[in-house]
Amino acid sequence: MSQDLLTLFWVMPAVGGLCALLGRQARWPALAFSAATALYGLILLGPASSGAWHSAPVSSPSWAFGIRYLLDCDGLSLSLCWLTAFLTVACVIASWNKDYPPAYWAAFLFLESALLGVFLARDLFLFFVFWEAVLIPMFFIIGLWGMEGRRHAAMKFFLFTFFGSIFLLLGSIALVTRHHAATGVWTWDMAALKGPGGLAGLAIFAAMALGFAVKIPLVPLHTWLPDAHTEAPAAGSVMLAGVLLKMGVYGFLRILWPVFPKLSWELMPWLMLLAGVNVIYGALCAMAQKDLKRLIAYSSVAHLGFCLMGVLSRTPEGLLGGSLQLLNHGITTGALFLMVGFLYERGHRRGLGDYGELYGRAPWLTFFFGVATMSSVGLPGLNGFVGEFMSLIGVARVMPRFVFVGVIGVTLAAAYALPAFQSVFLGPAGKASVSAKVTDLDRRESSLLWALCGAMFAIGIYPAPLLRVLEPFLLGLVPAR
Amino acid sequence: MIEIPLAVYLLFLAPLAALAVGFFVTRPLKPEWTHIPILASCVVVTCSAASLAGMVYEGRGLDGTLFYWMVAGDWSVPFGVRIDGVGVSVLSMVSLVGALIHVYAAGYMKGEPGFARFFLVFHLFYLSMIGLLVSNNYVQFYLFWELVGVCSYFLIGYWMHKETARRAAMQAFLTLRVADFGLMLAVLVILGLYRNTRFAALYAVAGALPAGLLALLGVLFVWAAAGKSALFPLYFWLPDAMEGPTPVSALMHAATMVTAGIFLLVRSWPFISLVPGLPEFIAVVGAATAIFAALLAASQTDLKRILAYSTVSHLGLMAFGLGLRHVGAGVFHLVTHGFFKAVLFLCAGILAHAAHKSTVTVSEVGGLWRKMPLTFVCFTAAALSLAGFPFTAGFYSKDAILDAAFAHGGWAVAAGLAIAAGSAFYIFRMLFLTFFGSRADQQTMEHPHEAPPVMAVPVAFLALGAIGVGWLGHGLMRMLLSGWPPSVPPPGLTEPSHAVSAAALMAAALGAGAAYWTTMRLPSWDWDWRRERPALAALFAEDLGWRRVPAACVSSAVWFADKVGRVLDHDSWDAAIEGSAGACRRVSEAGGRLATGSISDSLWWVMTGAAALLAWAGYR
Repeated sequence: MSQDLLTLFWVMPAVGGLCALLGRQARWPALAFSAATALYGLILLGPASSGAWHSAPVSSPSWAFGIRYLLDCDGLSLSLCWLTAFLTVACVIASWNKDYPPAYWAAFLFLESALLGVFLARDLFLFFVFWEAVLIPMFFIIGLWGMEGRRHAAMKFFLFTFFGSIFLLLGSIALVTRHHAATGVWTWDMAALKGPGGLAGLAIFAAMALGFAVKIPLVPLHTWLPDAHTEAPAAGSVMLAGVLLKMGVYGFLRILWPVFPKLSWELMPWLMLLAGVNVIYGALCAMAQKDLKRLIAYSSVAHLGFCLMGVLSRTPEGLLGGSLQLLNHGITTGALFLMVGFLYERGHRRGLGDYGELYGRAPWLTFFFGVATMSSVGLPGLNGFVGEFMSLIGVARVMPRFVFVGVIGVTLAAAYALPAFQSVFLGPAGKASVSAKVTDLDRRESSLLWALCGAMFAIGIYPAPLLRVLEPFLLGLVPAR
Repeated sequence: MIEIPLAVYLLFLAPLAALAVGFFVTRPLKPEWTHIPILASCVVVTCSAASLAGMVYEGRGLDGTLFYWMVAGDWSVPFGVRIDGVGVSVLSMVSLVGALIHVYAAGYMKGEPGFARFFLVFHLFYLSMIGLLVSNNYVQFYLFWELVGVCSYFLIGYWMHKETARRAAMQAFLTLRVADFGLMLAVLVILGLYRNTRFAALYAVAGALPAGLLALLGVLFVWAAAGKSALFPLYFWLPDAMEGPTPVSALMHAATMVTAGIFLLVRSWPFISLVPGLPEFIAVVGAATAIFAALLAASQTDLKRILAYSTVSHLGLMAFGLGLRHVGAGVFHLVTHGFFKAVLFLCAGILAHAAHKSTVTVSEVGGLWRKMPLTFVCFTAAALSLAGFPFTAGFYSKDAILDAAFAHGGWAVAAGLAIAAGSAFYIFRMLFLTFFGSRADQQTMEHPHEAPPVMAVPVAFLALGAIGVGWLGHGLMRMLLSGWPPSVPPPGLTEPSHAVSAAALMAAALGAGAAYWTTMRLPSWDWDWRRERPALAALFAEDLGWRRVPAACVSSAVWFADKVGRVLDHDSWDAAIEGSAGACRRVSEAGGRLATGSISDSLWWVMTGAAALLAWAGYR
């Protein structure tokens, strides 16, 4: 019963995608099905938070080698599913006036379906299938409807992530066969698998972590990200930054921590170092960018570094903060990419120097961009701060000296985000400026941003309820110390 | 469960409600009415603050939780209030002075295009400062601390069409951010070790903290405070922040913003006082800042910049008092300074308003005392208070600090007297240049006129405060002591000795006399030395060279980011990855060329292979 409820969750958008492909007015079924999925996700809160599915006996039969159709939903999965579902609705609404073919709308719904599958799957094989399925619609979204360099960027995105996926698959197979060799049981159940120790365990851990690291992305595996984000259409960038990057950190949380509880703890300092490099390196790169989309893309590298830092600390504060930051980054960066998209629709430019003095022409756009920038900078009272700060508390508890790096990252965030905001919105309009073409947001666009900014304020001021939703699975990852 | 009085809720709810009404109702419908709900909220906040002050005066403090902000398992960060002597004594000044500046702003900003935007941010600024003063833990403190910084960014850069305003706003925000690094790190370190940042809990364990940790926390707090309270080396953003409208400057310098840093030091005093040498260090930094800034204030020509450097100087003086372990004296001066500095700024604003400019220089004024008598009287009252003229507010608070300096002896005496003489010099120079004369180098204002009542009345009230709040010193000390954490020695306010008062008065008279000499006896001296020694004038214009240091830091950071982001990431690493595709293709093409398909070539390969195999077998 409960599995069917969850099946409905990920199948619904897929059905919507088919309807969009077959029907004529593709955007209407896209809106209807994405909205229905989002609302359905809200309804799932009740059973998910009561932990109903954990106690339910799993009766689905094994297909072969212990592969089973296993779905589950706890606070972590549910919150990421909400993010996916609501951002998909936002993408559909944001692209509403554009003359896209049915395949565009269908691609977003298929993407949503695959992403929900990733977050709901509890069988490693199923997880991998969904993981790979995400690539296909995203590849087409970038490659078909992107900017000038879309084909190159799509290919780069695909090759990079596919390279990571190979290691993920190899690691998974090795893990399952090792588990079989040790226990005599074939299973791909994430909760049941236990990683081997020694060198084999290290190799498997490294292979799977590599697969996840490409998605996060960890420096130096990040160079697909600026290209993909920049060349994707606005809604594509929203999904890419808003949800796809989260899959990497989610993989660490959902698979690597439970399967390798000891090993992951031993490797923590090294991984923390990598996350710290992400924070600083991403921020420095963002400071050097002249293109608004590339700048936001690099800021994602830095922000995901914060998420990973928190998650790595394996303290209640860090785990919850890192996971909350996944949502926050989705909301904030999603809003930023949407607004850059709106700006691009009007001015057809993305350079920092191409605009200026927009506060008079587009006060609402300025207001929302300002709020999202402040959230990205980590202003207390907005969502970004809570996640970042709790992540850093986690770091402070396990590696007090290392928290220094995180705080430098927070300081650098102001140094790239605010000058960009100022030069586009407040600064002078140069001779070549296209600001004259920019009009303020219409009702459709501003209602979208009201919703996103409302979420930023709500999470920033009163995050406690959401943190309580996230708690159940995450607190279980805290090692006994 | 502690019962939380209504006044505490009103402190937050009134401004929030006013902001909501202002944003959603009056701004879209009647933007020129935006100040009405906000002024109402100011009244409510001031009354609430007064009632809380009364409560603390009677000896009842309060430390309670309103709701839980962040939670994780058994850990949480509360959102609460701490109503104690330190908080309330500053709170009552901030709420009153802030409210009067709001009234003034309603007149000053009338007819500005962004009137609604201005008032909303202005009030958020006020709310943030109030929230900061009543926070009961460091995380919440940090929340409001940052909000104050962000509001100041938008207010300093209010006239965004001006290049200087944008630059000043960005400089202020980034400098503050660099300083906030210290506070954030300190809070994280505390949380990492103790999982708790409530002041009450931390004060209780302050004595048990390891010495190294205490030293680290102390230094980080001082760094953060140096940014917000514009102490050397991070003071430079404050004079440039003059680019905002005058009410903003007045609020920043008198009530909100710069007092936050000193307040952080006072809040953290139980830790700082335990670090050997740190209070003395604060005293030295404060004294150096005060003397340095007084020197610069004496050399400025823009009226608002004179006052800005004067604020830097007085913040240095407060830090000096704190560092000499007379916390009460520091807080007392913080309160009196709020009154007289607000008057001075608002008077400068009235002059600018009369000239229809955002700011005026000493060359554009002169001889105004006849034409603007009320402004002259208020300004003079505040100037006397600033210089420490007997029985004005500044006299009591400054003497309390000088008393500490005399008790300390040695260099502190010299520094204290130098500060007293310096402040008297620059403020009387400003007074004489502005209201007397006029001089050959001054083109006096065409149609000087007195301010409308909405601006004049708050200034008059504040001027009364600048004269009179000194008499409340003992009440303030009683309030301060009633909620002071018990683990530290009470910050007493000793009765200043007559010798100290006399010495201070002598120093001030010396400064005032010098100012009289250089402005009235030698009316063109102020212009002459600039004309004759342009190199010296240029040196003063860049703060004796210090301004080059932050500029160099910024440009090197930008240079480094460019090297990492463009040269390393894009041109080297990404190019190498992109190049690997071409390399793969070349390898495969080279391999493809080997497979020619002709039989003779294949036979050659077979023979080579066989030979290699045989050779390997033979070798084994």
